[in-house]
Amino acid sequence: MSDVKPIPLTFRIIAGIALLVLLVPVSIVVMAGFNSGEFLRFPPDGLSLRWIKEFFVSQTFLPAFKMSFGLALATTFVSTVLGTLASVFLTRSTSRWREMLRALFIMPVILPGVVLGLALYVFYIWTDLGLARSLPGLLIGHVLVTMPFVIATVTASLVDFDLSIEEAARALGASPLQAFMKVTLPNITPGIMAGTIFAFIVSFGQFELTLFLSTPDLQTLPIAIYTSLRYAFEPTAAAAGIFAIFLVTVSTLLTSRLVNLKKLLRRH
Amino acid sequence: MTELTAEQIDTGPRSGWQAPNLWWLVLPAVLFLILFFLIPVLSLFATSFDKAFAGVITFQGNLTWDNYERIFTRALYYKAIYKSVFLGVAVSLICLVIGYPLAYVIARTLRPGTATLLTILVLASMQLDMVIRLYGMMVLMGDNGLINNGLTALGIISEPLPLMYNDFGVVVGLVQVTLPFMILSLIGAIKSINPALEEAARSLGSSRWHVMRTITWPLSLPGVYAGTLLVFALAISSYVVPALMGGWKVITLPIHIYQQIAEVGRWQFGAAVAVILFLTSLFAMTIYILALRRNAGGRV
Amino acid sequence: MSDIRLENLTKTYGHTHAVEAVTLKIEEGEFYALLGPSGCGKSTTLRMVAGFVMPSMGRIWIGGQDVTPLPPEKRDIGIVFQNYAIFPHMNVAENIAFGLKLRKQSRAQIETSVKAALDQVGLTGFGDRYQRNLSGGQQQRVALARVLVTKPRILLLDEPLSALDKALREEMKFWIKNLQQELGITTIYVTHDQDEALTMSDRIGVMRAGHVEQSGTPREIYEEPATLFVTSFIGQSNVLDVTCLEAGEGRATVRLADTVLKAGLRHRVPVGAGAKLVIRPENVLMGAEAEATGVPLLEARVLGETYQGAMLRYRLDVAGQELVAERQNQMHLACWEPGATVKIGWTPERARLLPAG
Ligand SMILES: Nc1ncnc2c1ncn2[C@@H]1O[C@H](COP(=O)(O)OP(=O)(O)OP(=O)(O)O)[C@@H](O)[C@H]1O
Ligand SMILES: [Mg+2]
Repeated sequence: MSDVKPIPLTFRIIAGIALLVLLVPVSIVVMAGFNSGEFLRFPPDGLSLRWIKEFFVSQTFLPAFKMSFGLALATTFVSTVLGTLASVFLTRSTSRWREMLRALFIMPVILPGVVLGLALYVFYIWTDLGLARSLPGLLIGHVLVTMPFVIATVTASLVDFDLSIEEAARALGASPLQAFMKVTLPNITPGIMAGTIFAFIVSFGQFELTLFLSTPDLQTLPIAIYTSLRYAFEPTAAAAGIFAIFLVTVSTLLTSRLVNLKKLLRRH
Repeated sequence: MTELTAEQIDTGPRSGWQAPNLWWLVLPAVLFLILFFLIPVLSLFATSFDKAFAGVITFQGNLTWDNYERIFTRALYYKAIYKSVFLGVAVSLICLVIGYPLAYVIARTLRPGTATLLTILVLASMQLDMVIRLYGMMVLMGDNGLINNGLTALGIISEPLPLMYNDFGVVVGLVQVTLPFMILSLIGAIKSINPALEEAARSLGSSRWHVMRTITWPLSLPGVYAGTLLVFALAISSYVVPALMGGWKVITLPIHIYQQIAEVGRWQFGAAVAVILFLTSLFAMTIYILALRRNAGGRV
Repeated sequence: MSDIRLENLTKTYGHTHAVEAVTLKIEEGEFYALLGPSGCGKSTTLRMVAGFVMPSMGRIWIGGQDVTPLPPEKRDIGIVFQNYAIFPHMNVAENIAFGLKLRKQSRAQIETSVKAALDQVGLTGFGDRYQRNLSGGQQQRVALARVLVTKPRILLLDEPLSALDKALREEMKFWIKNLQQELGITTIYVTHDQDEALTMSDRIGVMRAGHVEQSGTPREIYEEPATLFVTSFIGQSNVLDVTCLEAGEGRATVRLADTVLKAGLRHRVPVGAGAKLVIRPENVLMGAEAEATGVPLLEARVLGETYQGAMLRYRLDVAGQELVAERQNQMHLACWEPGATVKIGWTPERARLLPAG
């Protein structure tokens, strides 16, 4: 088969390099986390679970991991609910405001994280509602940057959804709400779940926005690793990283089962 | 039944059932965005026109162009703009050169398993926490890192190579974090080219490289523009990469914003720099979205 | 009182007039086909009756009730879509039970009805299959069963056979028609296939560009087309330029070349002006047959002959106008070679005069 349309050798080589650029840093984190020595050197010292164990008793990374996980869960819940409702509007409404709203909904990811973080922080201080450097304040920021991902995936699955199926339900006597809940929703669930996973991952790895909104006692994992990286390469951070890598890989695999990757790519 | 006049027959404006009122669905999200996005961003704009006052965040109302004037008149600041743009351009071009072949392989491989696996790898590496990836980069490229360590052990070098804490390190770091976005933009564009076009050109006597240059590349240009602009926008907005890989020695706009605020406490000036950064990235992103729309025939 | 009544029904999308001033009456138990080319507004009309499209103007009555402001679920209709719209997340039994559950029937009741419905459409034992494991014809039957269990007042079908292959289409055509007659349910059937419309319907409405051009029984539509469009859309017709000499009650006298002919007339045609004479190929008599009936004869030259098995088709030239004649391929009838001249004619009742343009 492959000699029917061979991909030029030069292309294969450069593609290999690109793949290395993507994967080597991740592999190094995994190696550092499983390394037995204090510092990853060449050749490596040997395998051990020393840093993984260390992670489970760490006073910085374990709480940070839990914090990130909890925050991502809460964020995901809020943005899935808000984003799914908004997506139904965006695909069903004939309002002339629709296009404007669609643009408004992607704005938060277009804005550089530092700018959005700064804007929110200034706003929190101005309004003085106690949101500055607080968990609700942080949650609001994360919802802002994750909702566009939910809206993108849910909108895509609603557009692909065959409307005549919902109409069939209406003709059989279902009210608009009944038809949506009993027929449409079960059929777009994979899209919603993919959006949910996206939102979770984006929130879990969010750094630049968090930089302005978190405090030492509200440290997320990226912030904790960032702080430690400015002084030393703590292998415990790499051990925490291994869990994050695992989380992301599992969710990407899950997403690829839930939604047709090809469809997703067409929209990128 | 009596005959109806035309007026009675006219059903008039749409009644409730045809376009049920859907506004309540979007209302929570819209209110959320107005309150926590539009108002804060507009406040930031306002702040950027307020007279700079170290340590004061609240709005004083002394409107002035001073902050912007400073940015464009002092070398220190417009150098940061220049640095950001320079890094953005370099990173976009490098991503294009090394990303195109991988995108091509994914789009054109005849083995579906390979395509899926590579796509998942690209997606996963895009989604992984940047700071974790930078940890790996730093362990690799530091003075005491794997590369320098290995080369010294092999006796090839005696002094560590300066791989990090300079422009080179920042560029490599930015390429690492933005490359997936380039590849994803390109895959769609290359996939949408009908392979029959390439085969037709081959059958007419074109060499493989000639086909690439005259058919594949020009037809994938929408994806190329989209990917390049997206990577540019992401690269100039990044704070964490120049912070870690540049070790505060490479001063870009985001670094500048943070320094102005965290170290000097000049919020108004930081806000002005943020506005400049926002406008630059908005400009690139708008063109990106327009390019994408044309590419997708209005589907996006 | 008619079962379905459409009054001045109109739908515009921006500047497109999808449906324009359609007025129709459909009797109880009638099988009514809406026939027309793609984009003429058939689906839009049907969807207005179903309640999915709000008319820009006009009213809809079902069973004497004005349903114009009612949503689809309140209209007591059953609709089958072109793609069948089987709920993919439910099995066949659950699909069929869907409408019954909404009507709050008891579990036992539902179970009995579902089973009866499956038997009725010949899908006994298919209850736990899913849409992806059903053939097109089976999905079609499920869609019908799902609708029929709810005992709708009227049945709406939008090109239900267009997704099936030819053999299955023939089979389903008769099956649907039989089922409809058995149930005596008022039905609107949308199609662009004239064979389906002619063989299945009690009456046909021929649509073109948002209008209903003619509404009548298949025989009326075929034999007495009201407009040139209907003439050319249903079956094949010869359309000849003639001059109208005299127009009377249901009859007209016309001149074609130098021959004076009579033709049926339903429309106002100005005397002395040009008009169109319409005659079906199978009604054109040739040679001895024509002479024997004593109709006015025309001189024609044979341009060509096409062999079609049971039929022979002749392309003829009559005073510079081309005409097609069709006749049985039977041993005792004469044949003509291209270039030969032949006398042709037709009985006046078979020809119709329509205004030009
Ligand atoms: N939602 C809509 N918005 C705008 N125009 C529409 C819409 N629905 C239908 N139309 C237009 O109205 C006209 C009639 O469409 P309709 O679907 O009723 O045709 P049809 O007779 O069913 O054709 P087909 O045989 O192809 O199904 C077409 O020109 C179509 O483009
Ligand atoms: Mg149609």
